[in-house]
Amino acid sequence: MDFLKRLRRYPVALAAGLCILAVVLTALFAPVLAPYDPDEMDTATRFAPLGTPGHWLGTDEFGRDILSRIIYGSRVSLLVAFTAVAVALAAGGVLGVLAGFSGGVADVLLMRLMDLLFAIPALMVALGVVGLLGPSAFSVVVALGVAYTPLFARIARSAVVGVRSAAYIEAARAMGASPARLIRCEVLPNILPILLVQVTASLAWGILDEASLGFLGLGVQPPTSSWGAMLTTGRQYMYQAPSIALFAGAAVLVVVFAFNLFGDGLRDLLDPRSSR
Amino acid sequence: MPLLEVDDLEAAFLFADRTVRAVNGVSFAVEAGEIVGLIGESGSGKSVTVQSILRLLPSPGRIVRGAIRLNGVNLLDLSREQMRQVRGRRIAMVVQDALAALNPVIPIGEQIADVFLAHTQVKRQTAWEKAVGMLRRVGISAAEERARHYAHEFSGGMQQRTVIAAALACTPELIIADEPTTALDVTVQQQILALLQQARSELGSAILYISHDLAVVTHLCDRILIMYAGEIVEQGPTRTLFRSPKHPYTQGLLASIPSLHGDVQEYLPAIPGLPPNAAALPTGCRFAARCTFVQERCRAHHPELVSVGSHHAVRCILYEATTP
Amino acid sequence: MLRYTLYRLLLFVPLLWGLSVVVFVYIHLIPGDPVQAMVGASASQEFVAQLREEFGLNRPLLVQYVDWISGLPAGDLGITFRSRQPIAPLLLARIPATLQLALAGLLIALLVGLPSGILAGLFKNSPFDHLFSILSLAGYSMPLFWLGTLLMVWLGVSWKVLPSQGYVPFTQDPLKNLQYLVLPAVSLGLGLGPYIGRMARAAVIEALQEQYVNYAHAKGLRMRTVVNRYVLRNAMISLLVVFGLNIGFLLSGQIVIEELFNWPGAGRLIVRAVLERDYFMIQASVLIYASIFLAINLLVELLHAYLDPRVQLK
Repeated sequence: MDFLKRLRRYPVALAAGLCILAVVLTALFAPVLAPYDPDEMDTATRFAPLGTPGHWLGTDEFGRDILSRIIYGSRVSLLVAFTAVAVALAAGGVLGVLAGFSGGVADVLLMRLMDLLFAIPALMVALGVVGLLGPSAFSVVVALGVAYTPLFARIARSAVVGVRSAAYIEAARAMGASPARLIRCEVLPNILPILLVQVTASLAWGILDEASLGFLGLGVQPPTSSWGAMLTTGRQYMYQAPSIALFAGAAVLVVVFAFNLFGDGLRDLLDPRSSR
Repeated sequence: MPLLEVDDLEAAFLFADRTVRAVNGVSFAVEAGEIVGLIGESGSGKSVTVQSILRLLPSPGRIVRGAIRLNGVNLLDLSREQMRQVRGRRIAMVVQDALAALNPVIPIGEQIADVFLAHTQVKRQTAWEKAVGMLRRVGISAAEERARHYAHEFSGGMQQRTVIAAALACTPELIIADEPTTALDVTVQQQILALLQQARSELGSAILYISHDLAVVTHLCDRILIMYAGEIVEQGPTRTLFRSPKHPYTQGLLASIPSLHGDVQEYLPAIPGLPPNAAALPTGCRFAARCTFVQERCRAHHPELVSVGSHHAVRCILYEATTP
Repeated sequence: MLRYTLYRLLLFVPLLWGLSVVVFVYIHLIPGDPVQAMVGASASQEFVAQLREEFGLNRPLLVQYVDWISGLPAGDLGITFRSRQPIAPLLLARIPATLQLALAGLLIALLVGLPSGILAGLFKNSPFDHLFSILSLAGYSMPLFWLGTLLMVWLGVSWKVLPSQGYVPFTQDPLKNLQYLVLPAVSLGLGLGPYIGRMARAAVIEALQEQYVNYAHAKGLRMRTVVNRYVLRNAMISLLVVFGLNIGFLLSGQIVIEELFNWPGAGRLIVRAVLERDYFMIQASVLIYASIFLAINLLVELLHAYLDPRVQLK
């Protein structure tokens, strides 16, 4: 594929992409990779230090293996981030396309609404949603999905408006092409690059925000292992077991960094004008 | 000694994966007070030549070979600071898109005053007053007030006048005008050309006038250089060139000027085809692919610039044979 | 400028009204019964009904909205669900601490991000720029609370240089107040610095590509003049705009920092409200937070209009 060939010229992005792939595989094969059941408690080995044979990253306050919990934690992070972005992409895409195609008052109203939502910080929106739905993985997905929707709506709308006025669309319309067909054949190929970059960036956000919510105690509830929640408990036991917070934070950092690097490379690769 | 002497200039853009040879062995001179036209299509290397003269080639452009002498001093040997003192003071520039060349958030007057501040020992207030004087001189009414305005508040013609005012500020020996009238309508074009002619007669500045359009420069220029694919293909006094163009490319250009007596609407076809890719130049004559007189030998042999009359030279195989 | 300012202020009123509608609808659209959610599933039907009656939740939505919005101009944000205290004074009391942290954090972020971003932009593709790009992207990917925890453990606990958690009002003991401020402000500043740096770099690079910069060189202006008057001046204006658009996002990190350092700002109040599922408090605080961001946006727009003569034309 042409895309993969070009990706080879961006070694950093390629490395970041491989890193993301590795994390995805880790999440998928967590039961195979994790040395222990992440929820298995062993009061005999509470707060085992770093480098303990069998528990290389140590254990937490219930004697659970930290490495296993981090490996399982990737499932929550990725699942929440991917679903939330998918929700935002779908909702924002539909709203943006509707606004762009209908034009007029509907367009203005919809986009004003998006501007207003955009003015409220994502974390704030998420806090509101979680507050009403109660903390759970589902709430976080809904919360972040709602929070990211305006971004995608804006992209979709501007693409539709841009394409709609183009001469070849007029021609296609005159020949009786339906809006659905127009979106599939004309709009989508045009905005795919921007969408792809935005999706990658949003995934990085999603992982960070999920961890933030988890840290605030508003994410996935115990005993399910998530990186955000591990940071909260890790903070309480900073002195007995510094590795809980250290490695959970590092996991977030590495994955988000990989997504950001990949997104940056993707932007350069898909848009030759923005060469850094 | 000529005022400006460009000697065997070669400039290229060294990209990671390819080298674009934009200017290949260009030599010409501009005498003091002379107006010379440098004509070529976009991509012919005329703008790169100008950027080379000012040493303002955008990255990754490099001057690979040659010399650019101003009164005998090679500009390529000057330090950065010395070169800065040449720009705007001895060689000034007038650009095509005046609006883009003016900073949108600084008043017009200050942008002219900046030139005085950069090249003369004057106080800010004096520089401002001189700037207002320059605006008045290029024909802007209510100059004191207009100097406080911003570029977007000016009409296209006034923007171009502002740029000319900035160029004339330090009485330069050479003005390089890069298509200064392209974006303007015809009456304003004439005013701008008149302003340039006035600069020559009053300040004695020489002008190197860059254009893609032969028609515009006929009345302005003493001499004309025709550039194609990074080389000069023909040069000579304006009158000679018009009476007896030698190079097929020049002939094509002249043929595409609508006749003064004929119907203005009736445009003659431009030369068909495109100039060669500067990253992969042909070995033979660079115009061969578009030439109506092309011969077998043209594709293999790269012609030299040969003299065909007084101050008249051409780069074409048709004339090489006659002067061994 | 005066006319433009009045015009923008006038436009701000319907915007705030729109915001109140959005917040209200958005909170009422979320499925589930808020009272049930607040008291828990085990509560009796009678109790829930009684509470609904007490808080007026059994009335039609429009009546509830009119009731809510009519109190807003007078500063009445309603009462909390659990303690039944008026919300406005509670939020107001948190403002000084929040404002102090936000400003200190932004200041540090600007001090870190602005010079490095500008230098990276001016010397694009230099070794410094590459270093900057990697470091800023890493900083950008750094979870704020993790950075804060590391700083807290390293400086506050291991070295005992600074108090790691808590707050003393400035009016009570200025020196102590500032000591407590250092760690949260530095965490917030280091977290935001990379964003500001990247925005600054992009703005400088964009300005450098403008023709007027090239023409300024052609006029023979000194490097210092070109950079100050032609590059930075324009870059800072566009940076201001991007900054204004992202201010809400930039400061949302503060909620996490307040929680981490036990800094008694409005952010902690909101987190507590969310944990206690205090529906009225969430509604009020989302409205207030969002209004503040809209107000900052407005300020930035006015400043932009003042700095860029092209804006007022539209």
